[in-house]
Amino acid sequence: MSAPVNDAGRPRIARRRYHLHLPGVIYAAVAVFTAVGALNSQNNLLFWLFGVAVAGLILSGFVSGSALMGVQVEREAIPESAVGGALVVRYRVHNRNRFVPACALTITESPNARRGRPLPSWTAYMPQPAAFVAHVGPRQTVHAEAVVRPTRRGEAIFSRITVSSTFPFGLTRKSVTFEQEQGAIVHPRLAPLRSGLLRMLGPQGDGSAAALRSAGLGGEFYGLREYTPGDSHRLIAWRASARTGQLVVRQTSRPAPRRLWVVLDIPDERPAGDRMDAQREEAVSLAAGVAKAAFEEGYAVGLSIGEGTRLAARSGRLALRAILTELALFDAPRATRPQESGRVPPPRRLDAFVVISERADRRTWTPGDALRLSADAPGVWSFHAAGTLSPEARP
Amino acid sequence: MTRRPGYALNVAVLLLAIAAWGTASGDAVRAVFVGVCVLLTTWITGGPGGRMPPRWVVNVLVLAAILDAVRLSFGGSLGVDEFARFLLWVLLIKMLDRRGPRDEAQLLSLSVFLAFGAALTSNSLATGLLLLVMMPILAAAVMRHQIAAARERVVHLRRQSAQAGGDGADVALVAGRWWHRDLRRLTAVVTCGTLLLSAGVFVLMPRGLGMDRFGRWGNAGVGRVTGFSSTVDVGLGGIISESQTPVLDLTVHDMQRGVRVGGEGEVYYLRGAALDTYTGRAWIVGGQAGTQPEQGGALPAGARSELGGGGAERELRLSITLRNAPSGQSHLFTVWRPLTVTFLDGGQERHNPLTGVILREGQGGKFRYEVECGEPRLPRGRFWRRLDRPSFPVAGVRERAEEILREAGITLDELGLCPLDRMREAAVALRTELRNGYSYTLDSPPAPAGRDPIDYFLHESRAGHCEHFASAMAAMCRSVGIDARVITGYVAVEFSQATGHYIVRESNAHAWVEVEEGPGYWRVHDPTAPADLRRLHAPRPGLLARLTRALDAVEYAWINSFVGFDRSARASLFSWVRSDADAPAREFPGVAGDFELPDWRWWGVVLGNALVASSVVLAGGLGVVAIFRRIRAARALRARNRATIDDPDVRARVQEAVFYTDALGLLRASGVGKPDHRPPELHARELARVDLGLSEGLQAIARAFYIARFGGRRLTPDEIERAERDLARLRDRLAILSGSKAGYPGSRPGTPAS
Repeated sequence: MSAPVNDAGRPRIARRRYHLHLPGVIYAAVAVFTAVGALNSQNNLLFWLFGVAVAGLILSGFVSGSALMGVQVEREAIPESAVGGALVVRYRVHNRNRFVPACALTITESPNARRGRPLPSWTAYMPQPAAFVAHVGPRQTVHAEAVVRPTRRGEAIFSRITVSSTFPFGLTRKSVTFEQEQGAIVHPRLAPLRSGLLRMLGPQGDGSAAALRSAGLGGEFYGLREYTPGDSHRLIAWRASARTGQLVVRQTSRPAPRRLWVVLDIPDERPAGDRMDAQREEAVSLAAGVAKAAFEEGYAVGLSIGEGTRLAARSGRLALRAILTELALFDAPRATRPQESGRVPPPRRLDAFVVISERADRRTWTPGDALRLSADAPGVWSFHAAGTLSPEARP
Repeated sequence: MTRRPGYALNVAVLLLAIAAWGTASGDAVRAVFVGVCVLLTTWITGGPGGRMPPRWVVNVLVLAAILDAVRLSFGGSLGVDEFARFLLWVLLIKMLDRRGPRDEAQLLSLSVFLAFGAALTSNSLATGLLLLVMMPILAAAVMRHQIAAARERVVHLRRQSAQAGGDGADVALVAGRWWHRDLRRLTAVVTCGTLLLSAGVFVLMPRGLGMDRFGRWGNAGVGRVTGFSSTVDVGLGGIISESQTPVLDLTVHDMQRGVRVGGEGEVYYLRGAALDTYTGRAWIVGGQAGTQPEQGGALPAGARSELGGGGAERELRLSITLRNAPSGQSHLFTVWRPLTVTFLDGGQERHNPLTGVILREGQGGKFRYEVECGEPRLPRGRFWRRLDRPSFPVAGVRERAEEILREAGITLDELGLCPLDRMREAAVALRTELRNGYSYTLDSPPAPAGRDPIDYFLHESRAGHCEHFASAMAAMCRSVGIDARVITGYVAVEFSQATGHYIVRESNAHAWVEVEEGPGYWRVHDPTAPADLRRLHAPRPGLLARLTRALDAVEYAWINSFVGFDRSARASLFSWVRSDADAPAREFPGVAGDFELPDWRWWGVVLGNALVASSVVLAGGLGVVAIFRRIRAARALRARNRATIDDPDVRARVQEAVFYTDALGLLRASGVGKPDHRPPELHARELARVDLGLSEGLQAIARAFYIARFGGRRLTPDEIERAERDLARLRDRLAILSGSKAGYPGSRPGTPAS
């Protein structure tokens, strides 16, 4: 088991490094040149300037070393984001030093590696996050943030934060690397849909004719049940109670939203080739867009991917988040706990289906009424009524 | 256009570097011009609505400047001065191209190189002061630049990521409280540290080692123009320097009375070159100098050389410090007649026994020497001199001389012989006529083409400066058979009561005449009217002049303590290290660059002392660190004690919640410990990133702990039992996770949770 934090619960310092770069080399060369000139000419002003150069070198090492030794960086919880959206990585930077401020800090995420071996990392998902801190005073804490736009769905693993600085004189670049493992879920891009496309599926939402009913606080009679302490006396069905000999109360119905299944009809294995991969991602993006649009239309949305993954149809923000997370991770290396599919109830008669495939000619899953979308022609949709095939139309 | 941090500081550094170079090189006009241009370009490019030319224009201009420098280098004239001028042009061009921190860094680098150019050109007080002022401002500018550069780096990364689909938004300046104050304090600390460390390096660096190994570059004295010249070009008109730059410091001791002498109104003629050959336009060294070969050789520091002198009695000892002697061969200045010379700094010495001219050859910069001199004795008895020397080649000069002598009633020619005392009377008559009949001016016109300048001065212009007067008198003397030579040097007239020495400036350069009034008996005659001499060379009145003189006293201290810090000064500073008195002589014996290994014993003493000193410093430092750590630990202990719960009931309830501390211990042992600052509920939520089971387990335990800590009641047995069960589940979960080789499912892809 790795130990990304130290005993105090703070990120562990993996290593400290001094990088000599061009300005430092030039500085050293000028200092040597000055020393040679001073010795050659015995010009005391040059002797003093050489002294200044040496003092600059010593003080640079002292100031930068003591400043960076006291810097503590911790990555805060990373919120979920979507491909193309903004992912904000926030850092808490604390300077433990009592006297020396830390200035000109550049905070970057480093690729994950252990003993020289590269590990799965964030690098495949986004450009390098970088944050800047101008100054952290002694015993002060500031917050900095890096904003990146992820380019790929999945779970990005962050493990190494590198803080570097060339302060005060830019002679060397000093860096400290902290280890703190964290994952960030990158949802697929939400493909925009033509408004009203889901209306092709017929009536939907609350109160529609096709809505299912369940026990709730509506006005329509749903059934009777035994009285339980706490039930309102006004709900007691006195006549039925008298007939059965025990207290029963009336139950009223509440309209349940219509259920819509997003069916991602793609093979489980990733196909070879960039183009196919792009179509697959487009299909996933379409599925995410459909799910979000369906939630906004009031559907309870379920998800089915290929032969395996199924998520029960539910409504609400948490359900949408679960679907997007599942779409982010279904064929990626799994990092979060998978949804258990055994308890997912089967589709019902009035459920609507949106089937999304990579190619329009793929027909491995065909329910009765379904709206079909394909990634190779995202502008083209078709609606299959039970047993009939409607003419294709362009949205 | 928004200005970057440190923009004004950068401009200040630029201006100071330009001022330092201008002061060092004496090219004030160019320095002022460039300074004004810098200010203008600052306003043009950095002001409101500032605009910059396209980058290709800037590149073309820089290329032109580089090509010009290459052309100069092929011509063999690319010295420090030319290189500094090249830097100035590049700096001006670069001022038009200030687009980002990289450009500001280049400007700062150019300033630093210009400052080095100034140090290579001059080591005057003004240059040193300007560099000293520039240092902290440069440090502050560089520190602010590093902040701007770091921000630019992040902006660059974000732009790159924007091209790759990232967010290219501008980067906010995240800074803690009082960051300007912190930077000011850090600058002050860095400045003080730099001064201390540089002073240490300055003192510790060996002197005399490797001198002139790479030629004579880097010598701050090279090329300095002073009022003194070893030739007198009469045909040029007014060329007398009016610069107030101090050239040398003179202290005069009366050897017979053993006291220091001098004062206002007491003038000393410090002769440098003796010019005895007239070319028709200028007086040059020749003739007499060639009749007897020069003598001398290497003169170590403190050694004395006898110059001859015809038995003159030693009367005065002159202690002279040349503030900025040129490198290579140069004249030394003495009072007629020099008898001995002692080089306090060593060097090659050469002298001519006939003319009494002393030359030294060595490193430039400050040079100290002492000269003993005395009044030559007039030979006893009556002497005649044959007047068969060829007359001065200009006919009009002889006519004028004879006319003057005739008017004075002096006849030189008596059967081809002339009594020597008559020659003195003739010289005095000629001197008197020049003083009374001619006027002094610094604005003398040059002689017309084809006309001898001395003849023109005697017959037509009748006005000129000291070189004209001296040339005319020497010419007239020689035209009538009296041997005479033109002497160039300085007159010491400005006496500082505060320091008891004379300050001689470039404007004190003077020319006069020495006339041979007996065999080897040369007397000084100054044909310039004493009133004019006083008027020209007397210290200037007024507040500004007084201030200048006060600054001169400071510069005198600067020259003596800083510029003049040499092997001997360094050796005396470290005299406590040495075990014997003659060690300084063994330190680096090669005065002219010959390096010999020093005595190992001395090195042993130095290393031993260094070891002891470093051990003391190290022990002190470790002691300070230990004390500091103890204080910190004590404070932490007090803080922990303060954090304990005062209420005994609450403390008892919390003590019952052992499951909570056990859970924290388990998490810490597994590497996912809760930071002190993070509440347990928040940490539980954070753990969801790692594993949902862990998160839920800790949340349940945290809720039970909250009830015990803040709920105002004791936990029920059921709640404790439930919390214990949660703890067991947490332990199991951690055991499962730790059994997985790849670590947590949430931390490594491809390892689904069991």
